[in-house]
Amino acid sequence: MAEPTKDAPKTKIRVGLAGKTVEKEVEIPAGDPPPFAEGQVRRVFGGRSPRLDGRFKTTGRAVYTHDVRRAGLLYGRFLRSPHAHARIVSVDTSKLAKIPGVVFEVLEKKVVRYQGDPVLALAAPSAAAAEDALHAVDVTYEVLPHVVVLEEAMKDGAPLVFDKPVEEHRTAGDAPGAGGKVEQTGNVRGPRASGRGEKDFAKLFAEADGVLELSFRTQVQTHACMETHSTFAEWKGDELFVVASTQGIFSVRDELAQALGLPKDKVHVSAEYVGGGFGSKFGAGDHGLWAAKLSKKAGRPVRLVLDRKEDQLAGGNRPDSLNRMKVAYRKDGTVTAFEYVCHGTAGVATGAGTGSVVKNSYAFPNVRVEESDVFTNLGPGCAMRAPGHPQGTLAVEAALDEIAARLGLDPVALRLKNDPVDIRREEWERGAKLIRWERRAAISERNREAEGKGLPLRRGLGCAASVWYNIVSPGSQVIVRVHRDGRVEVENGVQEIGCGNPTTIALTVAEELGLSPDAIRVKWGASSYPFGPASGGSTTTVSLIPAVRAAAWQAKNKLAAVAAPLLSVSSGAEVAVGPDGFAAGGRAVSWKTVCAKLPGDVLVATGDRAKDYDGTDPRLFGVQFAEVVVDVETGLVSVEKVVAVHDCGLPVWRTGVESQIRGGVLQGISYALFEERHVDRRTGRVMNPNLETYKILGSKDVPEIVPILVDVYTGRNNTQTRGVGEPATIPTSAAVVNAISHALGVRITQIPVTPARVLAAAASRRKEVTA
Amino acid sequence: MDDETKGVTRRGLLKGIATTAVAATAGSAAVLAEEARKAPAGPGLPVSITVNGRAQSGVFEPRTTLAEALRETWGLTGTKIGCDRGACGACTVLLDGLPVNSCLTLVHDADGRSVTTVEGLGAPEALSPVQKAFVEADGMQCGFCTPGMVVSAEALLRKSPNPSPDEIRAAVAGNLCRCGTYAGVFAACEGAKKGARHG
Repeated sequence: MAEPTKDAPKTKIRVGLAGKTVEKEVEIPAGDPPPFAEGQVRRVFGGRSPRLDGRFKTTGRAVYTHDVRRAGLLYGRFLRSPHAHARIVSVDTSKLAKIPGVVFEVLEKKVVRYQGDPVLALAAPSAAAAEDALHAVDVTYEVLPHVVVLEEAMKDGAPLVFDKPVEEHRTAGDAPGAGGKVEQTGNVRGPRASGRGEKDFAKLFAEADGVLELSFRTQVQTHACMETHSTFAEWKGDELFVVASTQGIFSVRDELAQALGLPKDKVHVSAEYVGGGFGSKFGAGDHGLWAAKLSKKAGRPVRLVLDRKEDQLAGGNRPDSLNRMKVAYRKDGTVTAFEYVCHGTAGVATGAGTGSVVKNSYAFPNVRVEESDVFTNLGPGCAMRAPGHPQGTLAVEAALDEIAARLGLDPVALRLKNDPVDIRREEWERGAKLIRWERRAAISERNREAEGKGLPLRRGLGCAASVWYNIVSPGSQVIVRVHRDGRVEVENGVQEIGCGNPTTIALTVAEELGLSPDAIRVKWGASSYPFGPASGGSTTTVSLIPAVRAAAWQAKNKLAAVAAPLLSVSSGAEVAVGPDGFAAGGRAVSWKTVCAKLPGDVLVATGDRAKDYDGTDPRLFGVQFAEVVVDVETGLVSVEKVVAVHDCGLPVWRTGVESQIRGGVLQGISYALFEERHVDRRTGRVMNPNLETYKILGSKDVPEIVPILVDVYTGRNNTQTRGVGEPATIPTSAAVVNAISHALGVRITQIPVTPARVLAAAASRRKEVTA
Repeated sequence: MDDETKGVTRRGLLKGIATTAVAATAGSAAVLAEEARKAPAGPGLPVSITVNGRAQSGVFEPRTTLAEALRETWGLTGTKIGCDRGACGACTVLLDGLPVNSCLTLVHDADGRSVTTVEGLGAPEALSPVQKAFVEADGMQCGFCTPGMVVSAEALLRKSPNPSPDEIRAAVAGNLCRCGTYAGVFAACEGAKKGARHG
C-alpha cells in the first residue's frame, strides 16, 4: 500500500448516516471521479429494477458449468473412500484398464482421512459408463481408528487425524486474520489468542456486579449450492480452457496455472453463470485439477461434476463450534470483560474460529479470545457466508440476552449500553419500531398465562446485531467501449453467482452515461476480460463498482470533449450528460450524433479501483429482529416475521440487495432450526449426505421478511458503496434463537433448535416451575 | 421460439444483448446431435417423445432418466440436475401437462408421451407470462433452481389460474432454492395470475 504523500490534496466531503452526515477531509486519488454526494439525484443507480440476466435464467438459456457440452465429451468421476480413516494398501486397476474409452489416474496418497476423500479419478464417454467404471476398481484399505466428534477428538489419546502440524491456507472468503502458523497438540491446533484492554481478567471478574458463564454449541452446516462443484476442461494445443462453477475466476486460473506449471496466459477460465457458492467455490478444487489432467491425458474435453452425495461429503461446510464465555457486567448492563474460548472442527481442514464477533460487534472494553481448530476425520470445512460470524453472534447475543434477563433489563436497552456506533443505534431504533418491540413485556405476560392454563402456544421476540468489514480486493479494472453507432459495452471478468453483478455493472454505467440500463451490454464471466474480484466476503460490489464508475466517467469525459465543438463550447467546458444526450450553453446534441463523430471506430475508456479513502468506520453493521411462535406440545417452531435492518453504504441496486437480504435471512433460519449433518460415530460415516434428510428450509417455512436499508455515505470510494452478502445472514439465527428462548422462558444454547430440543427445554422449564 | 431445436436455442442465447458469447460455452449442436446418434448406447431400446412440441427419439439404456436424455442427448440443459433423486425439484418438467421430477422419471416411461421443458415455455426474446412475472418480481438469484420453479409455477397456474398464497407455497414445496429467493417466487406467481387474467 502506498504511503500518503505529504502534500496530497484533501477534499472536504460529507460522510456518515444519510441525513446526519458530517464534513470530513479525505484524500481522493487522482483520476477518480468525485464521490456521489448527499442530495445528488441519481436516475437508476440505487433504485429498483429488473435483473438484466433474468430472461436467460427464467428460460433455461443461462449456461452453467453443468450444462457445457462438447463433441467428444468425457464424463469425469472420482472414486472416493468409504472409510473415515484408512491406509490404502493397494489400488487394483487391472479391470479398469481393459474398459475401452476410459482414462484414469490413481491419486498420490497413502492415507484417506475422511469418507469421500478421493482415491482415483477417471473419465468415460458417458455418465453411465463412468459410473460402471468406478465399480471396476478394487481398492484394499487397512481401516484405521477414526474420530468424528469434536469433544472426543480433543481428548488425550484420541486417534490422530494428522501426524504432523498442518499449515493453513487463506482463501478469498475467510474472515480477516485467518492463516498463519499456530501450535498443534494432538488434534487441537491452537489456541490462537487475541483481544484488547486489560490483561488482568481475574481482577475484572472480581470487581464486576455480576459474572455470567455460558456455552453455546453450533452444528456443521453444508453450503448445499444448487449447482454442485464442477469443472469443464479442454485443451487446445498447450492452452487450457476451463469452465468452472466458481466464485473466483481469477483464483481458479492462478491455481490451475500453478498446479499444472503453465503460464497464466495459457489458462483461460470462464464462468458466466454459477449456481451458488456461499464460500465453497473459491479454489480450483480436486475436480478442477483432475478435469484438466484427465482432459490432457485423453486428448478430449472432460466435464467433472460432483453428485450431491460427494458435494455434501467433500464440497466444504461451515465448521461446528463450542463457544465458552465468561462475561463480567455492571448492574446497568455494561459489559466490562468478555472472555471467549472456542473450539470447532472443520474436519480435515482449519478455519473454525468464531471469535471475531466478540472483538468487533460491540464496544466491550476488555476482550480475551482463544480460538482452536480441532481436526476430525470428516470432510474439509471452508469459508461459508461470513465465516465464524453466525456462530460467534449466536454465542454473544445469547449471553447478552441472559445478562438482560438476570438484571431485569430490556434486551435492546442492554445492547444500546454497549453499542456506541450511531449507524447501529439508528438500526436498533428502526428495527425495534418495525417489529413492535414494545409488545415484548406484554407477550411475556401472555406466555405466563398460557403456561398457567396449560395451553400449548408461546410467542417470542428476539434480536441480534451483525458486524462485518469493508474488505476491498484490490486490482479490479473495467473497460468501457462506446461504438460509433452508439452501442456501449462494458467488460470485467467477474463471475455471476446470484449477486447480480451484470445488473449492478449496467446500472452504474447507465447512471454515468445517461442511458437506459438495458442499453448497456455487459461482458462478464471470463478471465479474458480485465481482472475482477472473487465473489465472497461481501467484497465484490465494493471492489468492483467504483472501478466501473471510474471507467464510465472517463468515457463520459472523452465523449464530452467530442461533444464540445458540436455544442459550440470550448473543449474544457462543463457538458451535461443525460437521457437526452449532451448539453451545454443552452444547446443539446443527441447521444447518437456525438458517437457518430468519434475519431475512431470505438472509444475505449478504462477504470481502476482506486485506493479506499478514509471516510467512515470500515465496519458494516445491521440488526435483525425475529418473532416466533413455539408449540411446547409438538416442539415445532414457526418463525412469523423477521425485520432485517442493514447498511451497505449506498446500495447500487435496491432490488438485488433486498433479494440478497431475504436470502441471508432464510439461510439463517434454516441454520437455526433445520440443518444438521449427522455422523455415525462408530463407522465415521455421514448418514445424511443428500437433500432429503439433510433438511433445508423450504417454501412452507418462509416468514414475512422486511428488509430495510439505512443509507450511509461511507466516504471510502466514489460510489460510497459496500457489500451486504454476509451481514444479511450473520444475526438471523441468533435473533431466532433469542426469540425461542423468550417464548419458552428457557435459555437455548444449542442449534439446530429441533422439536426434540424444544420439548427438552420446555420440560426443564416445567421442572423449574414446579420445583 | 416455436422451433425448439438446440441450434435455435443456442443462437438465441448468443444473440442476447445482456449476455456474452464466451467461446468455451458454445458447442456445435449439429456435431453433438450427430455424436449422440452414433454413440455406443449399450443395451438400449428406442424411445420417441414429443419434447416442446417436436418429435425426439433416441436409443437409451433402461436406466437412463428423462433428465439425462433431455440434457445430454437433446441438449435441453435448461432442465437442471441438483440432487438426482427427487429432493430438490431443479429438474421439474411437465409430462403430459403435469409436473414431474425428470430425474426420477425413466426416459422409457416417457415413451410416446409429451414433455414440456422450461425452454418450451418461452425464450429470452419472448418470455411466457410466468417467466415475465419471475423477472419482474426478481424470483431468482443464482438462477439454478429457477427453471424448476418456473415449470412448477406454470403447472400450478394451468391447474388453478387464481391460486391462494397457500396453494402457491404448496406448488413450489418440492423446489429447493438455496439462495432463499422464495418471496420473489411467491410474488411472481401472484403476478402471473393477474397477468394471465388480463393477458
